[in-house]
Amino acid sequence: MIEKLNILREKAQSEINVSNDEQSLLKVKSTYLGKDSEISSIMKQLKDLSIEEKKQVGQLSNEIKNEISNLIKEKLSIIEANSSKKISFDHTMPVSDDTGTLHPITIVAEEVVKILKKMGFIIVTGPEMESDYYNFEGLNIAENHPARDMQDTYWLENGKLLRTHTSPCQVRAMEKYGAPLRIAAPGRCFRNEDLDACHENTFFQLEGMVIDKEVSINNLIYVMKNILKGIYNKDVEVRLRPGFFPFVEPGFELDIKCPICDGKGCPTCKNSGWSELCPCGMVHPKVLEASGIDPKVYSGFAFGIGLTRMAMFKYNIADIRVLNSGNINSLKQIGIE
Amino acid sequence: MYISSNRLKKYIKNSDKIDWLSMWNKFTIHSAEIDGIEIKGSDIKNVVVAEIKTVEKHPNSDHLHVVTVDAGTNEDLTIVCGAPNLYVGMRVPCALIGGSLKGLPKVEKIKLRGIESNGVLASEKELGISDNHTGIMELDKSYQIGEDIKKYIPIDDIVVEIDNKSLTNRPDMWGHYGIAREIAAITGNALLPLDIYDKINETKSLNIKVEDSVNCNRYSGIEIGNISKKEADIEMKVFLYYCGMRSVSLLVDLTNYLMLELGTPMHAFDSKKVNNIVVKNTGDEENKFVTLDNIERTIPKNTLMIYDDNKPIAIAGIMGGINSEIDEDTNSILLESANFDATFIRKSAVALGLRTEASTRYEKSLDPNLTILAIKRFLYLLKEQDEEITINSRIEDVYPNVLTKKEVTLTKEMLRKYIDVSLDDETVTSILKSLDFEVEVKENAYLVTAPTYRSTKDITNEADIIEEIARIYGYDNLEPKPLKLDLVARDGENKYELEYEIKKYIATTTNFHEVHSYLWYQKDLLNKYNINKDNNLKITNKSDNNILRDDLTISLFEMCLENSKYINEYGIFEIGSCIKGDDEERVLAILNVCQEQSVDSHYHDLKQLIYNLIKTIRNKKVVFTPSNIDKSYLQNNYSLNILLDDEVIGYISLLDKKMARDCHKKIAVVNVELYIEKLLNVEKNNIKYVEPSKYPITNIDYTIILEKDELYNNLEQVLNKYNHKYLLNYQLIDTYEDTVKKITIRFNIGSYNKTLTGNEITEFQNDLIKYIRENKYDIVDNK
Repeated sequence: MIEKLNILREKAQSEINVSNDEQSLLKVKSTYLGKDSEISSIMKQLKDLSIEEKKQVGQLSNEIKNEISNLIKEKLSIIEANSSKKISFDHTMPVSDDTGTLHPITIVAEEVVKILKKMGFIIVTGPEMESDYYNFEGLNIAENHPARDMQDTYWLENGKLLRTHTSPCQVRAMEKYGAPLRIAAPGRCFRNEDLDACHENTFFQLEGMVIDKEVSINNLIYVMKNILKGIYNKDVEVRLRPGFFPFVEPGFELDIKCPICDGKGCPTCKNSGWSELCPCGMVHPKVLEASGIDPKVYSGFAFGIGLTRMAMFKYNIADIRVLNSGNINSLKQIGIE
Repeated sequence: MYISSNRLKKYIKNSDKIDWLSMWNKFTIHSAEIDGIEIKGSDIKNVVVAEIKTVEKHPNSDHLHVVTVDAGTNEDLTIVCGAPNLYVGMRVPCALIGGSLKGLPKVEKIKLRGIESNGVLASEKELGISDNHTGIMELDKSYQIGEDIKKYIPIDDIVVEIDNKSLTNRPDMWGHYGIAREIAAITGNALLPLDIYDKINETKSLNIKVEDSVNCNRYSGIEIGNISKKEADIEMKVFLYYCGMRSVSLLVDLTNYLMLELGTPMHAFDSKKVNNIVVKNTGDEENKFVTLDNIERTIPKNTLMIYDDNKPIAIAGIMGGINSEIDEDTNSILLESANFDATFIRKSAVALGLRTEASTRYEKSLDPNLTILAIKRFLYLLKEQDEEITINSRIEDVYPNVLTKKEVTLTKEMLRKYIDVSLDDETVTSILKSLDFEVEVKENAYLVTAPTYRSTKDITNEADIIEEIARIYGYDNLEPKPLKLDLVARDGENKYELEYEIKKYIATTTNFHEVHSYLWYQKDLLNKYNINKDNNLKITNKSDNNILRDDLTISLFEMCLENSKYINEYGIFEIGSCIKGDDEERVLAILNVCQEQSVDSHYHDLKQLIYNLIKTIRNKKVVFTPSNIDKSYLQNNYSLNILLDDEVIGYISLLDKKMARDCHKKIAVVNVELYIEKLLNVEKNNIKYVEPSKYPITNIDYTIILEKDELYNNLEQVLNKYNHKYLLNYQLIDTYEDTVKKITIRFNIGSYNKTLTGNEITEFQNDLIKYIRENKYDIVDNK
């Protein structure tokens, strides 16, 4: 019987091998695995055998049944894969380039914000319609201060104004959080300017402020260098020079080695080798005091980054008016990161 | 402001040892920004003093002359020259062969109409020392023939332009002497005192009355007579020209010179035209007044003026009048040296629309102590130019608002806090003294007294003194130091993050573009669509388009009108501020411009976008309910409120057909707004995991029949009210419209406790069918 089984096994194998369609395979299946198959009839005869033979023949016939069954399954799936409706498409068709975009300002703001967050700054915002107090008085810009002339302000019927800088966020943050403090505030600002390729009445800044015990000018230089390193992705050479802003004392202009000529001198940097980047300074004691922070205990620094200028520089946008044009043909080039 | 290095050199000891070019870089770092450096005289080479020997008409020209000059060379030179003012014996500047002049090619031997010319005679303009090009410059007879012209005329100079803005808070630096003081401190050289004329013995008094002693801090004057010289010397003229001024006459030049030197404006009245000086306010009167520039101006109310008794003769601190000006016949003057309130002068200049060199300086808060010094300096310089002058009065001085020196106590602790470097008492003292501050060293502090010219507004507190020390010490000498480590996680607001997240979500999941629009409406647009925003808040000092927006969608629609000229289908969005009365809100607006025929799918996609957005950022599901939105330009039969936690957080709708078609024909515009603050207040849903049922779930599909124009929303309300213990949830599977609307719903039924039996399932089916039919809908089993 064992011999017979082995012959059946070989026969089945070769029949499976030559079967090339589903029908003939099903026939092979019924021939060898069906109720009336020879293997079935051998199985039926098992009961007449000795215990030893029963074991041997039973095992072998099960083994062969499984084997044939698996071979048929395998062959069937091959036939199916070959015969079923072929997937047919042109995989070289182009993809659409029609993706959404963010505004250039959104992108550079996020770039700076990401760096500042890593350094432990929290991000705050403030209203675009501001009070005289937050925009001027709380920042040591008194009613008769020439700075109010320097920044031509849009005044509103209700006595408020459109903020001329993001610095009101300094005052708001000091009032809300007190000291110590580490905030950054990106936002939109407004000045009464006539529009041309270089001037906009609506533009973006980012304000930064650090207040703690024992904050020194040395700390300011260190932090600013690191922020710029983050923005420019390399070490940058900076210098501080005196600058005048009523809400800081001492006040600085921070210059970086001109990125165009690398300090050799070019028309962009007026041959000085340095490019003016951001105003900064130690927070004026009066500003701290006005917001309820004791200048005898705390000191700090603040800085402003011109996001609009940064965006124009990053994308090589020559005409500032593009930014508020809403023109899709211009803005669709920008991307998301 | 232009600064002449030549002039500065005269005020500083050992100034010839200073490398002036690199010094100006230091100046930028320590004091104020340099806008530009111009090296004067580098283009003037080999120009000598020559005397004209003969002048003849050129035989082949009706305007050229042939002259011979003695230029100190072996032989007289023949030169062809077209200037009209040549005469024998005239001393002139002559550029020799190989030399050069401003704006001309290098001097070479050339033939002019047949005659060889061996040099060029120069005008003042060609020497770069004035704009005068009417003739050849006539030189003083005392100049030696053959000597280089630069020996007599200070043509070589380094002129720098200082950024006026960087001097806003430094009234003391609005003159050369103040700049020299800074340079002396930076370079460690001594500042030389100014030469002044102090021997005033005359006792005659002048009638000067200050009526408005609030706005006039000080008024000093003196009368000077017997002035005969009319022109300033060449050195002063060149200096004025290099500083951007024009030489007018000796007296005018001298007042200008004093302003450029000390920073304090002066004014000279013809003393024959003036009797009694009265400084008073125009009060409620408006005057007509002709200023020096011969323009009749309306002087606004509340302007400070100088009167001769009752006749106005000058606008204080801004400009003199034509009725008292010095002219060719003037030989005696009443010299005004005054000090006025900075803010008052600034406001007057703005009101008049007349900002002058004088008012620009006064508005910086000048030191009133300069008035007397300036008079004495003026006398010295005038005497140098014209020895014969007489001093006809004493210095009359009315000084109602006496300025005191500012005293500041700077604690050493504060200094250390600001500047993280150890500075000994000697360093601190010597820096401050170099800037003319007095210092008294105490154990824990410095008692610092500022000079008067720094006491008008600039120096008020410790930080101001620290700035002086730090900037002279040098910011570049301060080592950068990290902040102390602080590992506290701080709470903040989340608005920036939320807005960024929303914008990025939209930009990454759609093909829409973020735009920025202005905070005010275009009036034309409002008019065109009859949108009335007259009650909105307005900008008072903006003439056109001054209505602040309270509706971001309108701002974006304006951009659609523009974009639709080029593109058919697109989406734009913005998160921006809207001004609603005294409040400000942040709003997200989306406008999706699409073909009318596919508006249903665009509308649906936007709905899906909002649903997915909120689910992404808040783990919550929004609900859309039909509702009227209070905007005249929406098709409210297509409006849905967007609800989150039962609160309206926005809407979705379609813009008015006419507006949409203004973009392009057959165009529809889908519009979404979300209110950021509302969203900000919604907390994230904390998802709690629920173990899924271990028992099988059975799906049963039914098609429910609606009238063709009935909204799905009606059916949904019916379905939402249906409760059955085995109904887990249901979904819309398919819709089909022919004469009716066929909606296929899949009901998922099951239990957490057991496998449902056939009977239980049938029981559910019967119950559901009954319920649906009770609600007047036909229902068909899909099996």
